[in-house]
Amino acid sequence: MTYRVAICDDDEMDSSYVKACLCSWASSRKANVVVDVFPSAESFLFKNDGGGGYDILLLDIEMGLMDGVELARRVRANDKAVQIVFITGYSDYISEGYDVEALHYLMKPVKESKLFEVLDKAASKVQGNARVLTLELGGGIVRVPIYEVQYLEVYGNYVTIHANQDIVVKKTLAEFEKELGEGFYRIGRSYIVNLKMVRRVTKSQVLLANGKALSIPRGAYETLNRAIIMQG
Amino acid sequence: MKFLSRLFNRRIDRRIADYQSELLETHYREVENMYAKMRAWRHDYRNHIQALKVLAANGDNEGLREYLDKLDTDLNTVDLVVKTGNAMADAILNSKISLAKSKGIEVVEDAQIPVKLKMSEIDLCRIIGNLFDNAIDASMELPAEKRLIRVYMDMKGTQLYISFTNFTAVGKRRKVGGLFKTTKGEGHGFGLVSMDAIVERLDGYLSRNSEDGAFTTEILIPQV
Repeated sequence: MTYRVAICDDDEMDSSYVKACLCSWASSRKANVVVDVFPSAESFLFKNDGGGGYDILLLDIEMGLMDGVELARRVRANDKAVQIVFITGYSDYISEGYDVEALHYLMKPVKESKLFEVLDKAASKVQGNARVLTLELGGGIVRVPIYEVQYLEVYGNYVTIHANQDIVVKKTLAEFEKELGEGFYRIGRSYIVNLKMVRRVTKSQVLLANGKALSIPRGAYETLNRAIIMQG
Repeated sequence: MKFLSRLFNRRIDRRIADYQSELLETHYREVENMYAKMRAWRHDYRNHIQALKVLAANGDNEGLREYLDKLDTDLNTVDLVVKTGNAMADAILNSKISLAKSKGIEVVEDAQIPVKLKMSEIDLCRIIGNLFDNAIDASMELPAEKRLIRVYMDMKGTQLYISFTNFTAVGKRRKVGGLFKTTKGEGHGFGLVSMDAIVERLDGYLSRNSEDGAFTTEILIPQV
């Protein structure tokens, strides 16, 4: 597997240290990495207008004019799959970065072991993102990237896949549950939710990133929260 | 009779309120103290650089070394043991960790949350403060070499995740009416109740688990 990685940091010492860690991670994991280093958010955007198609971004937060969070926001607008890791120095105030769905936040100075841990996690997410649901519709075959899926809902013999668009296929929820595997959670008889999309769980409902609220049966509150904690 | 019980309830309410405000006041004092030190350091930063430049320009190596040593010692008193990236979390964690250490309790922490949390600082302060106070109290029943508190904080998606583990002298604890009972006798256990109330108000999740002499509390709190 080859990973395309971009490092963006205005401190050259920091970026070359992160680059060195990344290379030793790649050799220890027998993976290939192609690394681009940028000294500012502006230079990243100048070179990569539509996001650049990277698998992993390692971004400093405090940089010159545009900060790492804003850069992440711009890239995220075009690229839902990229794994974003913030690497940041200490600051009294760091802006809210929830909407860019970062994989992790690391504090400088970054320990190599901690960076390895996060890179492992990013790599497995990148591999997971390559997964697609292949759906047979009347007219042909539709492929939906798994990371776009919000939730699945059963209705009689049909299941609706709620992703960027809604797709209805004749298949059982149990079959989907098996196919989707880790990162997804079956709620009662009706739903499978993408754990990444869960924003909060109340005693009676689960709220998803797209604003949808699904009713959950008694007992699911406990097990769903456990699943969120376990997925790490 | 009714009057008496109402009076009694009101007294308990007041005691809970007193306990909470006392706790918060202590936390905030510790926090402020740390910030005052940090501000002072920042304020002096330029002066230090200036002084070092002068020493360097004069080729006074001995003076430079002395000055740097002095700064190093000074910085150590301000430098935080724990840097999560979140200022309030840092302050409360650091003050509680130094309190625990002064009581001979080892603290192992792995906490990283460099995002601005949506939840109020007071709620965060109360939760972490209560978790620590309870863990410290339980640890004190053990001989010094067995005292250990583990703190883990991280984001799970957009939710804040907090996990506290301490070791306990008593074996597996039983729940009474779905709740762990306080071991501190009547009139205690306010911390447990208030933590539950905060987590519930924020649509969070709280789980306590007691196993093989270890007591773990896990909390999820939505931030979006």
